[in-house]
Amino acid sequence: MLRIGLLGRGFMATVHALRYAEMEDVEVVGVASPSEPREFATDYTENAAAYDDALALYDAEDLDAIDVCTPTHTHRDLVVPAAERGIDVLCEKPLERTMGDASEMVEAAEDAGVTLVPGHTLRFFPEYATVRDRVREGDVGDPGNARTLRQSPYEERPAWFDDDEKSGGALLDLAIHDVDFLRWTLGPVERVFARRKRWDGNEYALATLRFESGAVGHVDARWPNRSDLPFKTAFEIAGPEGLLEFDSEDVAPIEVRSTTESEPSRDPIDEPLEKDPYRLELEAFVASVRGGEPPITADEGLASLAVALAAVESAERGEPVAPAEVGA
Amino acid sequence: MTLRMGLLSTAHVHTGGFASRLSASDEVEFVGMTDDDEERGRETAAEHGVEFYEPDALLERIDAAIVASTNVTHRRWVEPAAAAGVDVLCEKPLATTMADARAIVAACEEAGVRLGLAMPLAHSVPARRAREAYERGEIGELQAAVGTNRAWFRDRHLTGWSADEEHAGGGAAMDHTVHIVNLLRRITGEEVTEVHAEFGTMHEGIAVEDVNVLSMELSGGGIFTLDGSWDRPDDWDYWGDAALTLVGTEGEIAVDVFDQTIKRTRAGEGIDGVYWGSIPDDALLADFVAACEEGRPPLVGAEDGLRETAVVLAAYESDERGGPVEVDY
Repeated sequence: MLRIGLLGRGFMATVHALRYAEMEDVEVVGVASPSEPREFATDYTENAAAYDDALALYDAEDLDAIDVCTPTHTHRDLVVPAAERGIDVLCEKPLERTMGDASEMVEAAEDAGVTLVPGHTLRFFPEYATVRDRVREGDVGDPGNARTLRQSPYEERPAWFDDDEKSGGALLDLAIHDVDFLRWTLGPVERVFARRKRWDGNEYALATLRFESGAVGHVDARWPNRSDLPFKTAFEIAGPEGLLEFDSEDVAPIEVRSTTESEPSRDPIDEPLEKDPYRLELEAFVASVRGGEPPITADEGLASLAVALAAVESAERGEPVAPAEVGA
Repeated sequence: MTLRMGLLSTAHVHTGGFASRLSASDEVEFVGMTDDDEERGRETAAEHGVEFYEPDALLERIDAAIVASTNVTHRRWVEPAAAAGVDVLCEKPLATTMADARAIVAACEEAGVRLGLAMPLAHSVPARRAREAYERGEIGELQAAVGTNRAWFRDRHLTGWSADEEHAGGGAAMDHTVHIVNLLRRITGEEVTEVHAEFGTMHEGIAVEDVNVLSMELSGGGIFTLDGSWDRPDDWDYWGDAALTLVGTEGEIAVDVFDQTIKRTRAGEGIDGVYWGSIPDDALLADFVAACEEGRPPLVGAEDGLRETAVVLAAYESDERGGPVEVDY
């Protein structure tokens, strides 16, 4: 039985806890959060002890791995002590708020010889994995132009998202999904130019990317502060030989509209797939804890973070920024 | 224990797909294939890197078989397989006459072998979600159902027989009625009681119907239409569709089984869809293999085959009579 410590009690901690509960030979034995860990443990983890302090969890339970689903700016102080204790780590994206803190985490994992997997879950979404395969099979030729859209509306959410010092805003928290997908598909990024607009709790961020291959990318990340808009994603990848297009708004394999009262699902994610992407991600992480290769390396997490931070910096400075320039 | 499987006939357009699945499966030992057209069988066997056997020699070596023959010859393949104690996954429709359908079911029952039908839709994730929602009562009592299962006409040329009555037993109605009827039966538990068919032939060079539009009544009093035509032009972006909308007193369930695609445009080659959802044929094969190992009936099997063959034959009778026909089960 693999023993997992789950850190955090928000949206992603909930999604992960529900999936661990369905997996064989894996158990969440402890949860830690400075606020209401007992309530979370009671609701979502059958046999987990609850801790206010993650370090107390590390020392009290014999953990094989931790799964870090806490706010971005807290990652370093949770991951470094885990690595020092020889515990493998799955860490939600982005790895940290700054390159310096993220690099410390990666170094600590290397020094201790533990696995550190950045949770870039998009790599486990079949629409994204399929388009990457098609690009690599040459369906469009050498990609020249790629654009992505991610709209994640909210009405209420934890305050740390709105604090740029903690979350890095829509570029670091939301756009990084697509930045990582584009890097994974098109290769390294040479420079980023980004603009951000924030008003009344909304943030819309638009970033242009230049890849080392010469391709151009456009990343459109939207945090509308309104509940009437849908969550949606889209991408287009164009090359001299063709074009690949996806829009989540066009996808509807099963729709149910009912006037009957039904209980809301406990699971905030509902993908009509045999195995949803989060489950695939956790299975891949667990396999790496058991000795397999990490599904995503820590260096990949650092590289995507550098691009997203370059976007943040570009929006501040009003000029293009190379990921390599972003303060170490 | 791995299940030893083989293919009986390689005539069907799905042969290649199933052969690849058998090759890739960890739970199956793909022993080989046979065919009454030896040249075609040997060629297909070579393509997939397995042995070609004479029918009896193959039946001796396998636990279960996929019958991938022409529509009219299913019985000829299933009966000896059953007699040899081999479980059967049969292409659809089960048969082109009720006599053949009943003989196939009887042969499998007598021999105590499993009979499954190669009907993937019920195995799809969207169909399973729809069934769960229906069973929870989310749409109340079924009032109306509208289904489509269209296809490229161009695929008729792939096998050389699927639009030839002598081998296919009919046209689009024989080919594309059973999938959506099964999907509706599977989700709702309703049966088709009456069928009115409007057939047409719009493409040149074929003698069978390529337009297949059915109007049906259901056991619970609901109304149901199905368009199962081979009417998609060559340049349509997908091989076809498989969709069913169910309207009830309390709501609506809309299933569009293959609506998880990336749109691909290639210079000089037009537009098509790249499917990225979970593949229903994988779930179909997994269910059949599990059924053989557990000694239980497959999810879609004998009873479905009998009932859906009866609906298809009622459609042909309606076409002849020019009016609605009660389904004779």
